Amino acid sequence: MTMLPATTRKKLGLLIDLDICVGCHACAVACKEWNAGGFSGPLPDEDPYGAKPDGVWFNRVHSFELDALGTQPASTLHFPRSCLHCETPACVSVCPTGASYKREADGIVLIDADKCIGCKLCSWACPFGAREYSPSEGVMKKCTLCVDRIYNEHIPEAQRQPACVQACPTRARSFGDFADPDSEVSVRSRERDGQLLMPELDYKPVNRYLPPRQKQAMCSTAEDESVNPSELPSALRWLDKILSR
Amino acid sequence: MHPALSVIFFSTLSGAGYGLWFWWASSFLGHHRDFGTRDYFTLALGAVLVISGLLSSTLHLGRKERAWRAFSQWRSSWLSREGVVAMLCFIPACALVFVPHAGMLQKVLAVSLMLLSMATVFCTAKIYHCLKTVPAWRHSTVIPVFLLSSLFTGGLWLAAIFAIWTFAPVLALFAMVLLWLMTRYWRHNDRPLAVTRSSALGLPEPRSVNVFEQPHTEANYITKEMVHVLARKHGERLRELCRLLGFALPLIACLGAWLLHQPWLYSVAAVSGMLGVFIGRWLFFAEAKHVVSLYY
Repeated sequence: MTMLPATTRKKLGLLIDLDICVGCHACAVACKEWNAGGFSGPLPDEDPYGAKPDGVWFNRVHSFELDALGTQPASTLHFPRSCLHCETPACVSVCPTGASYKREADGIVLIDADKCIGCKLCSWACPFGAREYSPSEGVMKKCTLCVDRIYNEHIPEAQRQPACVQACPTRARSFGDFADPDSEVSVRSRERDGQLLMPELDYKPVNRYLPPRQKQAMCSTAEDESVNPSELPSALRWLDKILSR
Repeated sequence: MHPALSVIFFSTLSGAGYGLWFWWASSFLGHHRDFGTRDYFTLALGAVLVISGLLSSTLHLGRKERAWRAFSQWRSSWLSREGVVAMLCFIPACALVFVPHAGMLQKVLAVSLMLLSMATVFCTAKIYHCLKTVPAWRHSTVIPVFLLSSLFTGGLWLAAIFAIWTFAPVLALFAMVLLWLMTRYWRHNDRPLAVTRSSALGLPEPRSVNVFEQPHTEANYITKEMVHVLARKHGERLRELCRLLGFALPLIACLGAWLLHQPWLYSVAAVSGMLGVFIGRWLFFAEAKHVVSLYY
């Protein structure tokens, strides 16, 4: 059924630190590599070596430029976009076949590829572009939070986390249970004011994004040649006074 | 949004079919009458419109052979509800063939056909109206426009078949109300998205944010399906065409048919009205902005 569970025992999700993400796309590539097989495989590419390559990816890294605001200098912002495993995912409730579902045990949103008819309505219902269509199979695909890794007893315990988290070279991504207020992701999210995306739509995303930290106030730029004498050491202030005559 | 022709054909054709069934069924309530040749023809034309629409709606499916699964989630999904109600319509429609003589049973079947027909169109409208991701479709005019377009085009076909003079003022009224609703919707649609890019990126304070580098060099499914920009280039021209073909011309043709007693003018009105509604429906999809475009 595509009815949503009233609540889930766990709320597994990702905490993504936009302050330290360098936009290297390692998470996207690792995701593509792992998910090309297993639960959600294959992840087909159309025309992979041709003029217009296209393919299904669960994770896309956007780069933006933020204009200067007040004391905050202009900066770049790298933003990995993937499924947020929302608490009220409309992608699930619009599904006419019951192929989409949200697990009561851990809150992961999945697609049963054997039931999907490829009507694409779920992708229209997702504000975050998390669901993509696979033309070669005629079904929808989405992030599984690496459900075939995190419970996989055939791999070492330290590796039982999503491929994107494992691959991140700057540790900008962490994985955990947001239902547990003492989990590492919950604590860090609280400390750094973790943000929900598009809260006005009320999808209640589980994943949280840590916004960039406040930067130091802008220092004077090369073009700016005015000097404030009161900030100079006394010897230089004296020299400035002599030379300014 | 990507204007999938299969869905536009579906909602235009089936809409007209259900509207035709609605008006035709309503004709059994007022007077006591038996079936004539035109009744069979009307029922069949409605069925052709509805079935061709329903079949066209399955064209965009990735797995057509599993389409039957779409009847299962009526408790949560408007698309599923639409499928179920669309099928239920065929019960009174088919049963009416076997009840050609006036009577209570005929009236009961007619009322159920009327209710189920409009319920189907309502469900179609709800599929789009319930999507918070396309703010334009949340507008209060969306459901009335779907319902009235269905009644308008269906009414034009009925008037064309039965050459009912007295129906012209009703249809003219529908044309004017629809035009007013469509204009209100377009004005609403022209406003920028209320959700900001800062909100989409989880920035606690609103900042001016520009795209620096996209995640992929070529178009992908998301940009092809949801970040469609073609329509806005020709939007104004197409809206004019929709007003003209969909409402102005049928209005004149209906009044002409009524005043000059020229029933063939109703057929002109019906074809022109369908074309206009088709263009309006194309714009409904093509012009609508999806919030995922904030990332691109």
